[in-house]
Amino acid sequence: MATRDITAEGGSPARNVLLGIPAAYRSTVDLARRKPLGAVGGAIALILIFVAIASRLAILPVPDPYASVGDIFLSPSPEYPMGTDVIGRDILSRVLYGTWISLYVGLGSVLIGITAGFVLGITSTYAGGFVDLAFQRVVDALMSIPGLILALSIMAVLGSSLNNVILAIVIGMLAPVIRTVRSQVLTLKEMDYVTAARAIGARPQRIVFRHIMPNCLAIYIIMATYYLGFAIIIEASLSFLGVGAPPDEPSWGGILTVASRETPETGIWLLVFPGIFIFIAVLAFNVLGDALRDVLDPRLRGR
Amino acid sequence: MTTYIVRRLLLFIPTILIVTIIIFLLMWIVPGDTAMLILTGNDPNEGGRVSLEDVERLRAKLGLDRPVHIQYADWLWDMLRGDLGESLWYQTPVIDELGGRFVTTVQLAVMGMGLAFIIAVPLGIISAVKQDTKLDYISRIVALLGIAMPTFLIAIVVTYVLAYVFDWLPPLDYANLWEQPLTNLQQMVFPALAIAFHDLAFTARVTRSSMLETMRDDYVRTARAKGLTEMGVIGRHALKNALLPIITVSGYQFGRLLGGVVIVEVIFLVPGIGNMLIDAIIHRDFVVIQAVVVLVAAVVMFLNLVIDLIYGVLDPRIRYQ
Amino acid sequence: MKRRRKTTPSALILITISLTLVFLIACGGAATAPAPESDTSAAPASAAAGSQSAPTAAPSGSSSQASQPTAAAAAAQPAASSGSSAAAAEPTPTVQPVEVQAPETDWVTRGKHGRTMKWVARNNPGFWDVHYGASLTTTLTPSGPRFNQLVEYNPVNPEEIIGDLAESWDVSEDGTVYTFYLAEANWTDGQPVKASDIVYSLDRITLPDAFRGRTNSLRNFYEHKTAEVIDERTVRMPIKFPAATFMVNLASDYMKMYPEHVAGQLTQEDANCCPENMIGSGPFIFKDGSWQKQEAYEYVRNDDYFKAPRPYFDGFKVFLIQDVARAIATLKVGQADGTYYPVLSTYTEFVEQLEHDTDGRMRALFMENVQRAGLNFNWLVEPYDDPRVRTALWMVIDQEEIVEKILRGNGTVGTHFHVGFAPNESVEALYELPGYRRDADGAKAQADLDEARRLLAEAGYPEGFSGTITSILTGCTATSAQLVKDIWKRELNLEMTIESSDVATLYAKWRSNDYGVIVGCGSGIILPDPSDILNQWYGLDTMRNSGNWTTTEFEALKAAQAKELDPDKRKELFSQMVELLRDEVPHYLPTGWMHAGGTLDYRIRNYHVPRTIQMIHKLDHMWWDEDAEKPPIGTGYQP
Repeated sequence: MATRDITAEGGSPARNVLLGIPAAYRSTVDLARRKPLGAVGGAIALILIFVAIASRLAILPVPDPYASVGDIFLSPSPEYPMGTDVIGRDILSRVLYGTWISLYVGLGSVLIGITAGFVLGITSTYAGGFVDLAFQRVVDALMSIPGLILALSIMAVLGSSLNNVILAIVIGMLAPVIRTVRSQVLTLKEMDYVTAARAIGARPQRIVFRHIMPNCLAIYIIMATYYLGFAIIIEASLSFLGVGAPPDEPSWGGILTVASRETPETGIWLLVFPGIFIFIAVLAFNVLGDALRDVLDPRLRGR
Repeated sequence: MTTYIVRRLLLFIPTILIVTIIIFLLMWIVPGDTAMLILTGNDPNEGGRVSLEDVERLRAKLGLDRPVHIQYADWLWDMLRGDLGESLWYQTPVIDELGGRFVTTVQLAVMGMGLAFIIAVPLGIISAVKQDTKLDYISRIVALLGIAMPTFLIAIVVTYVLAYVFDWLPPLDYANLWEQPLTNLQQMVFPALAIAFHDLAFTARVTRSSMLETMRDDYVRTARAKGLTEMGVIGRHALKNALLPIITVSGYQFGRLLGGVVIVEVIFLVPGIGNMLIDAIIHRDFVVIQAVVVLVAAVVMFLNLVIDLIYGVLDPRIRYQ
Repeated sequence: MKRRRKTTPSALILITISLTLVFLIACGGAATAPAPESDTSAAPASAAAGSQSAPTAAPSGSSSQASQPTAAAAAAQPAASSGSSAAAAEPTPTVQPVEVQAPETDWVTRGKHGRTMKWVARNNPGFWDVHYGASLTTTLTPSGPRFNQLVEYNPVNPEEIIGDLAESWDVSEDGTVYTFYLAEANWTDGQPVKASDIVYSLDRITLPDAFRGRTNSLRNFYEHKTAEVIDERTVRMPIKFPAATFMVNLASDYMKMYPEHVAGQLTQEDANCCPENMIGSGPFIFKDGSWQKQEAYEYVRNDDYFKAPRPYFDGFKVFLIQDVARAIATLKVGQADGTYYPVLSTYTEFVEQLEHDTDGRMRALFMENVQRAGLNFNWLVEPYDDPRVRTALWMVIDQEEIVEKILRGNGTVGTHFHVGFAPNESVEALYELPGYRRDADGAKAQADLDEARRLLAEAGYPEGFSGTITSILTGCTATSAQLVKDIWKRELNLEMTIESSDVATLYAKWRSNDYGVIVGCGSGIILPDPSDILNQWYGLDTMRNSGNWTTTEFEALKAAQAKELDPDKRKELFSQMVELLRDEVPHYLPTGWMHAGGTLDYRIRNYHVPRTIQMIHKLDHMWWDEDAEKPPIGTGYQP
């Protein structure tokens, strides 16, 4: 097969990145110095995580972002800095709390999806033979079904809740992740040191855990960062299509969807503020991903 | 080579079968059925006095009361004979619409990809050549703008700006490219831009890393050593080789677009398969869904095969087993 | 380029963000719009058909020598005057009977011919057989203009029933036999409309075992195969009993007359699938091949229409635009002349803004109190099987808040039957009742809140409970679910989760009683008669009443009102029903009545807002007047 995936190339050990705190610290500083854009992305990501935790602890202008507190569609004012929404809730509090929701959905789907993708990808590759062939057909099939059909049907079957949104995103991302992992593992299997390990009689499990897994870690981190932004966008799109999180959940996508059903006169504040948050978050995760890729991917490590 | 192609083509069959089974199973477990919706008009507020007995009767008439494997076998048999069936909802043959809509979506995807390509490749080259400089950052941020916004937001903002700032919108009433090219372009350029904007990041990123890779390759170093100008090195050697993965990845991306431009089609009123698909999902019209998905899947797989073959021709290092 | 200035990437991000912000604000047109001013703006802009005093149509015979049909005239008090904006300006409905205006007829000669109209519609057509269709938007709106009924609501005076294909009619002494005398009309293939076509159509509507969505009510009155042809142009139609609402039903736009020689050849599928397969006698002819799904369809003028000089438009094209924001933008830039059907709930909250945005070109129009908001309880499961729980959950809801926040002022508080129908149902009277009471400062009465808490505690839930609100993710259904959830949490400490889905899933759950509460919003009434509510919400084995809620006494009242010809006595029966529903607490409890809104170009003349969305779909009375005077902005559409 001649398929190549750009995020799946290379593959020399990257585990020194995560060997210990000093190493991690050093590599962070290193990253910040060499990749200022990525560092900014990372800083924003940290701020977002902080905001998410704070809002989860109800440190918000209006502690309950689900409560209707005023008239509908108020313009920004000192009392409601971002105005109020379609049933009179404080948009600022909702957008801030939306950070928690979005990171919950994003991190949840990324951790589950990519981990599952890795496990399935590696298992299938190592199983080889008919199992692998059959499994790859399923992956092919999933890849060629428009993602929307999968997501919409899954949401329709399971009903709307944040966890089901995560599941729908996971199933949508599974096939491409498995693909990437597979090509990665195939490359690694042919690497000299793996061949050497096999030659000295190491068991497959040992090869997987000692050699393949650590090498995949770099890919894992890179993919996780990219897919985090992707998951936030997908969550928003699902909301727009009417199958996302329950309408009262203050996810950024949900707030945007409400805005998109209004004329600009009423909906503009609902559009602007969550729009900016999504924008910043996805942008941050993407530049962070780019930087990690540059640093962790050995082929690009030249400079 | 021939064996490789035959093998790949043969693998299409199980894959397509799996696709149809997945869709069938999904549609089977998804709550709600077309019969119910037909009788209620698919409006949450109009389902008042539908009698439940009528629903059962219509289910039987549409054949929805049969066991799922029988339904599947029937559908498959019709499909093999080239009959895509009749839409459960509209009761018109699916084939009547599919062709025209598919062409429309392909046009949209081509325009979107083309625009993305035109903007993204220079951006990617700039960021690769000027890696870790201000120019790199700017072009990367520019490329990321589109991916950092949900497509529907882009589409809505474009509509708002056109309508409320310029007091203009592309003409209604979709026109074919070959009948009224000018109207068609007015209608298609904005959805194409929205798609392009979204795909920028992807293509630019591939260009960047592909360029970074090739520029480190031996022959580029040699070219540099020979004293070629930087422009010469980039244009003549690096870009030529870097383009291969860019085109390949764009090809796969194109396949993804075919089934994925739904939101853009809905907001910009493009009568493509995305619009058809979302309508069919709302109506639980699995005959239409199946037809569209099988078509998209087959085209995507075929496209991937062609890309792989071209890749092999262009890159002699690849050997087909 | 050489010198490295310290432009940090974060500065870039900031610039990008601020640019986006400026961009977004700019496109929002200063974006200073306040929240809709509910009561002040809704009323004057409304061109709705009069106040809501007596929503029953008062048929007053045909335009010619028809004898007054006693049964039909018995429906109710004479209704409010129609079309006059003065009546519409009344903010609160009253029950005072108003004189019926003399039907205006001179407009027929004033109409101007010309122009192919462009309309914006939300929903796709689904089924083109009007007899079959169960929905306004998938059947009647797209298919209606091709056909005529036997009798119709007067398009310029929607209170009145006049002849359509029937020129006039007689009713027998006992009120059980109707004789219709047909006008001279042709089907669009040139064949004359004959009495046999009418008999065929009546029997087709009442065909046993066939699905009949909105036309099934005729079965209540007319026994299949009992109508007779007297001569070429006379039909004798017996009905099962002297009925108050027979004519009200027969005049409904769904009771279309089909040509036997065409419809008789069609299977149900062929009649449904393809508009080309059927013809009618109506003002417009479907343009073959013009239906592009999710896109558009088109009608052209019937030059041989029997009501010459009508219709006035050369034709019209309907553009199907799913996305509401896009539809509004389309109207804003002048690519369409109005919404179609002119008044639909989809656009209600946007039309006044649109009037301002288009400098008064697009006029807002409203149809008052034609849709319901309410709570559907699954009364078969705990805790909703306890009437006290249902009452408590309903009683804490501030209907004024629903009207203000969810309906954006386009609605009023109300109860089980059409606003203002029963004598004790005026809004003022309502404010005396539990569940509607207000404190001196105008807020929801503490007494109601306390009473609700007491009931809930008495039912065994002093600490509240947790449950699920089933909803869909769009429209006012979604917003009202959120507000109701918030109110329940605030006042009763209920921990509800909203489970939203698309329509198909919602229906599946509803049908199988797999839900607790469904918060509904926007369910439209079909006929301007309270029996419509009984049909739609209290029928047995129907979706909205899948738990078959009823009581013996209620069934008796249902049967009695159908046969009661004296309008006052019939009203009394409905008053009893209201009392009964208050005591017995049915599966559906109303939380408000909403208006439907739409928009038309001011140059479209002679559109009189009917009493329900489901009436007057032929558009043969409207015309385009290029020289029409543009009324001041904010005054709404004037006919």
